[in-house]
Amino acid sequence: MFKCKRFFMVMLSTLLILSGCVKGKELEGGNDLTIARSTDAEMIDPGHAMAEGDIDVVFHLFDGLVQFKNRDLEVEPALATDWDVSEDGKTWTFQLRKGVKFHDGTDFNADAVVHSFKRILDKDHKFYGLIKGNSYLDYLLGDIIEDVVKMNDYEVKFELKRKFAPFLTYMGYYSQFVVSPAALEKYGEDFINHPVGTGPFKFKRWKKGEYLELTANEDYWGEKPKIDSLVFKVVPESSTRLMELQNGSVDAIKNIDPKQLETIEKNDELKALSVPGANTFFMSINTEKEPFDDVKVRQALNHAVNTKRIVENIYEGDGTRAINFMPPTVFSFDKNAGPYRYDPDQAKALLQEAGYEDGFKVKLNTFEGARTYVSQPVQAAELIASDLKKIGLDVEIETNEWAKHADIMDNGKHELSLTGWFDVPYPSNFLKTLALEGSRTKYHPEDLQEKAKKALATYDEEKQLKLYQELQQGLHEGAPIVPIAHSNYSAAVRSDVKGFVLDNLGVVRAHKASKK
Amino acid sequence: MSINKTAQAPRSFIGEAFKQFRKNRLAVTSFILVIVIMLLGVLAPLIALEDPVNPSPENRLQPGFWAGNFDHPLGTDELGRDIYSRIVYGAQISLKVGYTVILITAIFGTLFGLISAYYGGMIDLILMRITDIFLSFPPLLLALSVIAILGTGLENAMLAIALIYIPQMARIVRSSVLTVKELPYVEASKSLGAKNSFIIIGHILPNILAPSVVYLTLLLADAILYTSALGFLGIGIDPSTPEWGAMLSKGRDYIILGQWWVTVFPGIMIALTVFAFNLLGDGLREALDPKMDV
Repeated sequence: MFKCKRFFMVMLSTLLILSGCVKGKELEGGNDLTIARSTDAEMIDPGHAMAEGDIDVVFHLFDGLVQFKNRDLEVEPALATDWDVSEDGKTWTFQLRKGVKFHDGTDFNADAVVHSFKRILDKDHKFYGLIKGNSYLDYLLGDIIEDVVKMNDYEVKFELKRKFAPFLTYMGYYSQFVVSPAALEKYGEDFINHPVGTGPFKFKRWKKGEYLELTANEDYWGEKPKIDSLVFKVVPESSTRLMELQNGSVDAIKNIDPKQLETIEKNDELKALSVPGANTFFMSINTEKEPFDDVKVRQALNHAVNTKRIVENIYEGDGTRAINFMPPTVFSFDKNAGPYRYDPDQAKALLQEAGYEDGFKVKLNTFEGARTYVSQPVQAAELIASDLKKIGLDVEIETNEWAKHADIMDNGKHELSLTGWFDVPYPSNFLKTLALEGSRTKYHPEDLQEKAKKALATYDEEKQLKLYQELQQGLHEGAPIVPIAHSNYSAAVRSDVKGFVLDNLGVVRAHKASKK
Repeated sequence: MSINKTAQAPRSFIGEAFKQFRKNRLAVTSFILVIVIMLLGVLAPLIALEDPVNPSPENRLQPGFWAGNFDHPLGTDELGRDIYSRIVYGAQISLKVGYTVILITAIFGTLFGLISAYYGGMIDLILMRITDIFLSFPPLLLALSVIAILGTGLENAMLAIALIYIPQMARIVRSSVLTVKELPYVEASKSLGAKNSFIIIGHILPNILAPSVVYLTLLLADAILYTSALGFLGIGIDPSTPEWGAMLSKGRDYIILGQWWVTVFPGIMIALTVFAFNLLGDGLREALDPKMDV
């Protein structure tokens, strides 16, 4: 016991001394770009990454078969140079790029693609379950992909169970990125500490909870990075992050508190970046509970909430008003599918028509702590409650921490509840997965579900557009939620940093960044 | 002559206690402070400037009198509500919580303590092991678990806090009763054939009053502090309720950004109130404890 303790002490002090050296010497100067974030990565594996902290890193270490052009969902070649879809829309064939090497020196080829997908989707694959945890790949494509087949070294075929419209789009998303099978073999479950891909940066070292360092990949198949290394530093406190940016010890910060934007904008040395996020913050109405089973009551709620006031004061302008489930940046967004204008008198009239002129007692559930789509959920609830009181409702706010809050909603115990969603900016993710399945409204009329299914089963964009817009109209009329806002994702950089991009999922893209 | 003297004894005890209390300047100051806080609460509807709940975000985070703003002497919070008005109404809530907790604790604590000590034996064993169980939990954790089971809301928060103190109160009452019940006058009463209920109400209860009152006064401060803690953690109450702890918690983010008033004023109020009730409790103990009488 005593021996063990002493050994531990020695180890600890050695570690402390070493870490001091590393931080003091090697993280400074040079052509490095350091980004301070609120959280560290946990799982640097495309197949299992879930959190923002992971995705930031995955996008720099790995590549997909296709990649998004700029911020659009339109894709362009990446690890695949060309692709083709069969008549029935169920078979996709990809021609792979030749001469690409993984960071460990092994070749990128059809085997690598097959392994990358099958290790998640095929229970009989030798790497299945090697790394534990949920998989976003499984969530997006688990029910869709029937098989992945190697045709020859540089040709891969995906067999789908049915026609699936978002397939190609999803292939550009991080969870479908390709990993090195040789590294999986070599490191096993420790792969997450030795991630190997084909991306513009290579993994160098990771001091958990402190920083993660990547170095430029000299042999990258595409445009080579202009910086030598990219460091993700963990700084949990938002005010500390801002301070570090101000004194130049980091080059960029993420997860800015909207309250800090003013300070950043006043400073000439700093530049704020803000992009409309693919997320929605809304009030879910439990349409199974009386009186919310009456569409007039739901519409009354929509007229009663002063959404503009919330966007101006809670988001401090760093967000846009939501009029429906869909963020306006997503394909097929229909600007005519809403909003209900702010009009308490109209709300009262609707309540009267529904037979509730004396109002009723209602509980509004909200949660503690910031989430991607809202920084102050409690204050938002207070504003909504004061709006609803104006039309004669007796509102009580109940606040819980997120896990309990989600549990209440999942069990349908709520009446009104604040919640939100962020996802791949693809229409069905917001109109089907969210609106008809995940919004906790118990609102799923058959005609709308039918439309959602049809839209997924066609590759014809015109048809998709029409169906998705009809869906939005239907959701607007049925009013199962009160849409509130889409928050912006924000970052700030020192003004000598160029080419630093934040995408509409809030993920950093520093591939083409440079420092003057 | 000697009969007369004994008859006067209780009266002179209270008189003596009052004299003792008056001599203690700190206690008197705290007593005045407590009265002021009570007045704040009682007169809240008259002296508040604005509705404490209704937000008006266009006035958010305004500084107070130090910046020449006399419409909102203590500034406004993150939803534009007048902090002074919220503090005044907050006194109502804190006192309400304090008294309710004390009442529940006094009733149940005394009941359990009395029964346990007076009847002894198996009953004592069972009741005291139950209190042991409750005493073994960290207080805040116990309160949180109770709220998790009962659901949120001010009433449940009060119940949760009372549940922390009932076992402690029961212990204190029990130990007092154990001393008192062996005293000759109880034995005399028993040998005269008095019923248990008469002995308890007529002899024991009045004689355990002093330590209980002192404990309850000290408890008031603790109860207010725990309500604030629960409010600070954001569980327990409707966030628009002007509860001091909740106000303090929400202002936290604004301190670094220079809007210190959102946090500082409710903080001062919590500190002052707890301080005042604690000193009052100490003063009472000194005054009521015959052993300290020199």
